[in-house]
Amino acid sequence: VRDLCIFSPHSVIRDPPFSRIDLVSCRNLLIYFGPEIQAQVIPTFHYSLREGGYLFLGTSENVTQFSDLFTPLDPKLRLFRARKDQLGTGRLPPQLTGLHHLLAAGSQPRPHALRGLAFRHALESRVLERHAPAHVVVDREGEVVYYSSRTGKYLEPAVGSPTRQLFSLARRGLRMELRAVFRQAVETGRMATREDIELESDEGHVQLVAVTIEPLPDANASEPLFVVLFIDQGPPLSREAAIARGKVGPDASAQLDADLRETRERLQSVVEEYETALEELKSSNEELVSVNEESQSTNEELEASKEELQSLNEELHTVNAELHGKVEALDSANSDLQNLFDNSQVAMVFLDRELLIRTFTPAMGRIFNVRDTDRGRPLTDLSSSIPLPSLFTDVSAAIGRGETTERRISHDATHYLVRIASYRNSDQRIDGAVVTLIDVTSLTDAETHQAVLIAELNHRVRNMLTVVIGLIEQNTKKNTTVEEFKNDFMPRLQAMSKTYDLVSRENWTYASLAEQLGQVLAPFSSDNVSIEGPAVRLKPKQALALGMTLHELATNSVKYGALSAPEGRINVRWSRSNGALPALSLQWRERGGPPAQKPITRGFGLRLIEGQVTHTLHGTMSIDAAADGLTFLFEFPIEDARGP
Amino acid sequence: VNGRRPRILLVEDEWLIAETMATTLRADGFEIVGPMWSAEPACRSIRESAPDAAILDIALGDNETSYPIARCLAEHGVPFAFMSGYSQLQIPAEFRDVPLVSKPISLSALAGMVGELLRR
Repeated sequence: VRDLCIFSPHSVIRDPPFSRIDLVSCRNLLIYFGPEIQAQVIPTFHYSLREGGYLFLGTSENVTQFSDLFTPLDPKLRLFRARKDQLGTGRLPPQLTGLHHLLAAGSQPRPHALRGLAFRHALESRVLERHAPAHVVVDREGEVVYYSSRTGKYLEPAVGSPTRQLFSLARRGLRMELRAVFRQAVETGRMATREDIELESDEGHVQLVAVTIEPLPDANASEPLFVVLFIDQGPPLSREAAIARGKVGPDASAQLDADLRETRERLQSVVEEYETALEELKSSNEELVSVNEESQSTNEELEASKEELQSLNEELHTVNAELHGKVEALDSANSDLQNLFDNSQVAMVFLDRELLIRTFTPAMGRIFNVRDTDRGRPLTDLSSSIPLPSLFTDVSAAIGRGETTERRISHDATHYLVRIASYRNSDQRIDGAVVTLIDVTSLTDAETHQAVLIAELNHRVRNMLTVVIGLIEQNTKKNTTVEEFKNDFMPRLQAMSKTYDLVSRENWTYASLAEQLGQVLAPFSSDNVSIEGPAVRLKPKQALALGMTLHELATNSVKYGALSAPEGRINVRWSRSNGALPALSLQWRERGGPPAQKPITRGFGLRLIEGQVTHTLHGTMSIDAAADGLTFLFEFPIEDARGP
Repeated sequence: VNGRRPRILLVEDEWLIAETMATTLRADGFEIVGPMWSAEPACRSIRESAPDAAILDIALGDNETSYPIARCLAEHGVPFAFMSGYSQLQIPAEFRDVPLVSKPISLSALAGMVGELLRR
């Protein structure tokens, strides 16, 4: 609205007025003006407004003095409508007359048209007040919008909340007729009159009243108004006179009259009851309407709640599905854990802070004799099958200080690793202890075995090196040149190495005699060598000693014996003799070589053979120097007579 | 010792080693008893005529050890030393004080050890 307005200062008293305005809003200004200035300003407004324009005043202001200029449109809102100028056209606004008066100072004062108007008004109102019949103005609903003076004779305040309803206000006796006349006036739009209505006064007199209802000619078409006139007819009559006036004929007529009166009274009371009921119905209806509105808003709230519930329900569904998934995951995790527990060979027991058993693995049952029913019992109540002296101090340390202890405990050739650690809950706070007993017997045995093996290996390596040293020492006695030493020494070392191969292949448990012979005689043709004998297992030490011996024999044969001749043959045969001590008898027989002679000078080779057989193998040997070749016969004890 | 050559008992089941040691010690002026490879004959020999000193290989094969010989020697007050590829830890507590010559032996260390034993 602000955008549509042009604001400018304008004095309603001094400045020339605007004209043909639709609406003048002048609120709470007139109250500051005296009656004279008001009498100047209000006609100015009338002048400014076009015909039928509106004047809008403050709540405590009025233009009643100028009802000829303005008709109240809504007295409550102080909204008025400009009337058609009734005093003739061309009336100048008072300012101009004022100006004219100022400009024409000293001239004759004009007769006060305004004062004549006021006088007329005063006169009219006086006449109206004193001599006009009592009247009210009502709208088409019967709501009173204006009272004249002296209406109390016809109207009285109705029972209940204050009302302006004419038919409620009308005194008994008047109501029926008033209603009928009003309906007639409203329907026809013309003046309607009813005469000779008997109105009983409080003093018991009866007044005959005429009621005239007439639509107001210049009332707004949308809001038609009616003036209701109450006109007394003649002086008040006494009851008897009234009855007598009504009496036309004999007693029968009086009787009828009385009946009619009675009937009217009844009708009156019925109407009153009906009106009360109508009022009640109205208020009930209003209540119902408000209840309905409340219901509707409640319904809307319920609808909204329902939608919220639905979305909440959907969320719950989702959450439920998630929870379901989690529960399934938990189930499977739990099942995995259960299987882990059941199949674990590791004995575990979970304790809470009071050393009560939370849970345990079945393997724990063998150590603590604990059953499923023992869950919740203190571990101290149970006896252990193995001594665990420091268990409770360790558990206290785990619970109190979060320390982890590992101890090895041996009992009845069984070794346990006892591990005691703190049990931490999901908040990483210590909430008990976990005792784990792992059977480490096989591990411990393996460790022991490994220590033995290493010691044995050490021993063998050291022994072998000592043998090599001995071999070198013995060889250097005789040999003069490095070349000769090498020629003698290296084959012997290689023979030793081959025997080591053979023995280590069987993890230093045994060596097969036949294999060893095959290895030593491998360089020679099967036309020249043959072996025969049962399967015999030699111990590593025996295999090494015999290996050196056989190497010396073969070397000797190549140099001086059967293998030095193309036709020469060597036959090796052996047998087991199972006497008091199992023994092996082995014969090395050479044929077809140069004539043999028993070596008289004992060379190192022969000394080595003799030493190995008699000293190392704890056996005996004999040499037969036949014409067609040497024969060696060895006998030495063997532990294992069987074998592959 | 009293104008004669000191008699040294040598117990070693491996001939090549025994022979090398014996040769070395003989060259150094000792008389060698053995070399022997078994407890029983060694103990018999000690009882018959106690040597002046002894060098014993601990493991004699066939699960036999020279500890019985060591006890015989101790009974007769003969100083002796062990010779072994095993470490000191594997020797029984009763022989903890017996000197140990580790294999592989140094022949000069062996002669030195024998001399030390004889001075006891």
